[in-house]
Amino acid sequence: MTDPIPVTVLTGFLGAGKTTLLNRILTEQHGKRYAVIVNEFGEIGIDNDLIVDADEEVFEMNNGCVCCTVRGDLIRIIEGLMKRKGRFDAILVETTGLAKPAPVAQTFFVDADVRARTKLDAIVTVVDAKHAPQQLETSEEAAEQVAFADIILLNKTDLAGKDELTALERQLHALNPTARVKRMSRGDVPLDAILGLGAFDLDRIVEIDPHFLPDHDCDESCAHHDHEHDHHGHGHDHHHHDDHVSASGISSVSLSSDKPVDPQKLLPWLNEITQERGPDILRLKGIFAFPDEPKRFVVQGVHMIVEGDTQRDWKDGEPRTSRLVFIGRNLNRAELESAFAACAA
Amino acid sequence: MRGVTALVYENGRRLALGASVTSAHWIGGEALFALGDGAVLVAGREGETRRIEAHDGAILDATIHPDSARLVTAGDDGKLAIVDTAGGIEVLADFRNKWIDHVVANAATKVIVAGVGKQAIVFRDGQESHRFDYASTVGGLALDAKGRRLAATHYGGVTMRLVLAADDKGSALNWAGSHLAVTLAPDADYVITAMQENALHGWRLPDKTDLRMDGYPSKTRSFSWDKRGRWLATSGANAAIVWPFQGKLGPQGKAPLQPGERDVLVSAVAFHPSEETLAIGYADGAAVLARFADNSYVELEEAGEGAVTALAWSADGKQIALGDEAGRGAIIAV
Ligand SMILES: [Zn+2]
Ligand SMILES: [Zn+2]
Repeated sequence: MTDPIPVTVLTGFLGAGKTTLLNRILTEQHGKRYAVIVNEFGEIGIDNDLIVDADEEVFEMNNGCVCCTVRGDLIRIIEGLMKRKGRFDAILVETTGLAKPAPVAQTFFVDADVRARTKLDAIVTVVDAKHAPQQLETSEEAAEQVAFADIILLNKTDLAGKDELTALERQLHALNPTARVKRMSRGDVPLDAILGLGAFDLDRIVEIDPHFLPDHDCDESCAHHDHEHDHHGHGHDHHHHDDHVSASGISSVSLSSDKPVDPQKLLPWLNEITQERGPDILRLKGIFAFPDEPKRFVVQGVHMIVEGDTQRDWKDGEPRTSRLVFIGRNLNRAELESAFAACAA
Repeated sequence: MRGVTALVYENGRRLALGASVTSAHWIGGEALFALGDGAVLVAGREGETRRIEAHDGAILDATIHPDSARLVTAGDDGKLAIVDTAGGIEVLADFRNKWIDHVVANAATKVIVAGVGKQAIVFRDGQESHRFDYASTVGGLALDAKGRRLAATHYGGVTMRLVLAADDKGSALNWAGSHLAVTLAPDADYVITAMQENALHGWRLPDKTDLRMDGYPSKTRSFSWDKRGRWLATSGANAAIVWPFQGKLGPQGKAPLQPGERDVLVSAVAFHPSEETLAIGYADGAAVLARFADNSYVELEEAGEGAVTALAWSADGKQIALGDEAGRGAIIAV
């Protein structure tokens, strides 16, 4: 059996510059051949041999749950593309500005055949620096696209002022503290920053919101090291970020604990909360220290789909801090905090 | 699995097809393989092969033309083509950017039906006759043996229509969920679909009684009825799952036969054209022949690089053509 084909999902608000970026990915010399899945092709000029038109058919799985949705068109297209295996190395899925990212992401976990043949590499969300603050307030899809992102590309930064950008970055960080934010002006981002990230690989969940550490200094490991703003000036009031709720009701809650966590308490709780509150939980990520366990335990989830596994060893001198981030709707911070505290070993 | 040496070494020949195999067919004693690189490969009687470049892209589905002498191929280049074994290609229709996911045909009514997005498009006498619309993308098409009734699956069930009646509004068979491949029993008294969630759903006609056949660890992609419509063999489990349709209630409350059990999934099944003998292809590329009468097995082909995706018996039942995802083909005299 051959290696699964990596899939990058490119989302973004209308007019944010997704197509420009897409064309850059396709034309740059990187030796990779892409199959591109787009909506409404023909209307936009995309220069690639293998382009497929998607219909954005979202359907519910038969478990009666509203959040357990997949994209039937993607399942069908990927199956068809696999007949041409060997003719491309990676897949790019471009969604419309109005597409919900959850069904796209879930397709790669729920459908066994798709899962066996491909692996979701990352969700890349392109944001228009000038118009995003307003779009985030008025469009639920826009907020969801940010909430789901592994990397947020802040485009057209030349059109926004310095303070506007800083405020926007804070807003994005509040909605989604686990995504990396990169600034660009004409889609000019190094491609290795958006391709081959393995953002859904449990092996590669590296760090979550380092700002819980009171003595945090921004460095290369910092999730937002790409900020061009003056780090010394941003004061690290990240704890307050959690409280910012967008008009869509989407917010994030970041939890941490220096005490080891009891897996017998944590895992049933995570299972229960994602089953009960799955529709509200868009994404979650966690790194946990279990008692007498030399390895870190990591989880990642999309709605009700949660995967967890032990990962690398805790390093010597590395604080054994357990961290958990929820991104979702109607999150009750106090409730989540006390439930997480109750998981202490 | 008692075979020691696969029959392909004794009585067959292998073919390097160069691309994933979509389907296999027989025309006039020659085997045809429809391929993922857009070509049709004809394996001639004398051992020679001919490659016909039919599509610029992958062949997504193929079926024998109503004239029984040619192959109709559906491509992701949007073309519906008719290929003859001498190498001639006629383009029946070009839907440009649209993939043609499915094609079925019938010799009795001389129809060809293509599934393109949310439409089933009916062709007669070498041209488009009419189109049927569906609420969502067509997941599978099937015609009954007489070529009169068309089953089309979609989200939420199946729509049955008289294929020649352009204004047929259709009869709905409803069941929540996404329905993909579909098959009709030879005398059209059952419609069976493969669902997204690893189960089959069926309806007995005309009363539309529901049948539920689940327990599959993966999706069913391959169906095969025995000649008399007494058995329906299906892929998607660690054995061929063969449902009995002998009684009035069909498989309701009955256990299926499970020939060819192994620790890999069955990916393709094909009943012998006249006997109760089933060819079974596996996800690892191996294939066996299971004879129901004495519960005996013959190993046809050993494991290779990819799942068996195509199994086709010659009309006389003396040869079988098989092809896999990794581009290995074989023709074996049984
Ligand atoms: Zn759900
Ligand atoms: Zn920082």
